[in-house]
Amino acid sequence: MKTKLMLLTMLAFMISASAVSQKDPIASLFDKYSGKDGYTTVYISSKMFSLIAEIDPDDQELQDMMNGLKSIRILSSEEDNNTVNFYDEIMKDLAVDKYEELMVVKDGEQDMKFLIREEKGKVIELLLLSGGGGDNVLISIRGIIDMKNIGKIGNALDIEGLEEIEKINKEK
Amino acid sequence: MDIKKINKLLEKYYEGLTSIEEEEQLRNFFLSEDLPGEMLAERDMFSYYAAARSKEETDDRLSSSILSLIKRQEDGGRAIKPLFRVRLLQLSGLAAGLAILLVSSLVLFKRGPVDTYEDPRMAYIEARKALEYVSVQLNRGTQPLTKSISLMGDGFSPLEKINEFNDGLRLVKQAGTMSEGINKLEYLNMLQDPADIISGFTQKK
Repeated sequence: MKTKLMLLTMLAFMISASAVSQKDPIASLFDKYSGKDGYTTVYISSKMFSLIAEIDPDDQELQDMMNGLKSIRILSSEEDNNTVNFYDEIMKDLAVDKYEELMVVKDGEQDMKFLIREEKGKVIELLLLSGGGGDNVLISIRGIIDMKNIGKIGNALDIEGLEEIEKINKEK
Repeated sequence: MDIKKINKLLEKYYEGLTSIEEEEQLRNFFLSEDLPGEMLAERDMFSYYAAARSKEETDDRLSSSILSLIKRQEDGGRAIKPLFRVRLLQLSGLAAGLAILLVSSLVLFKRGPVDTYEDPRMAYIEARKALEYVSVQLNRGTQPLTKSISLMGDGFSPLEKINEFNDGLRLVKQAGTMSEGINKLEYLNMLQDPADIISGFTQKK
């Protein structure tokens, strides 16, 4: 009787522990660094995006863009924090197995990695990790993301950069 | 049973010397119907005793059944009660533990991430900055690719000379049709033939 109860409680603990550990890796990573000295974290929720969309209800492009987004998280480290390599530090903690590499750029000291997470053939998260020199930043964008959408973002924000991607996408 | 024997037994009975079996015999005798007149008084007495006895018996049965019921309940109570109490204690402990887990997990989940900005405009600026950064970096990554694509285009341009070659071929083709025309002109030569024929005629004449 007692052993059965013990087993039951242990099972309950295990279930709850697994529930806690299943909390998504990015969230726990941001939790780890938020409030730490030399680190800045930013979180924008889907609720906030709908509020942003309300700023200008006539701007259809803004509406589309904001409604597609679920969250943006930014984790950045101050530049003079040279004691640790931000890129390596984050890569160590990041559970990469859920992500696919989209692009790796190595520019001198600077390492940059684009990772995407797909679900049912749709990109649901875009992760940008940059570090080593210059920018030390980790950006996570969640929501329904496709390259066309990012191209739209680029256009909406008057950025020349992403036109090329849009072009490539159109050619597909 | 004969009367003499009964009288003997009665005498013994009054002296208090009868055994339980003999008393039973007497009782049975007096309960039976045809009794001599002289024994009616005894019969009344014995029937009274018999009635009292049977009453006593029912009382006994009732009390014993009550007692056994009490005993059963006591036994049963004693057998179940402690076990039930222990189980209740353990279960309540388990329930409390589960409740604590549930509440703590709910609190943990609720705590979650909090919006950094309260003003949507500020959030928009930050989101823009982030998206700009991402798009610029993404472009930086794809630039070499687009560059190489344009270089590939340069590589293709010499192939455009093939078009000139095509033009040349077209001209040659046109020359072909011209030769067809020339062939047709050869029919004119036939016109010369009739003239020969005519001249031949005139010569013969």
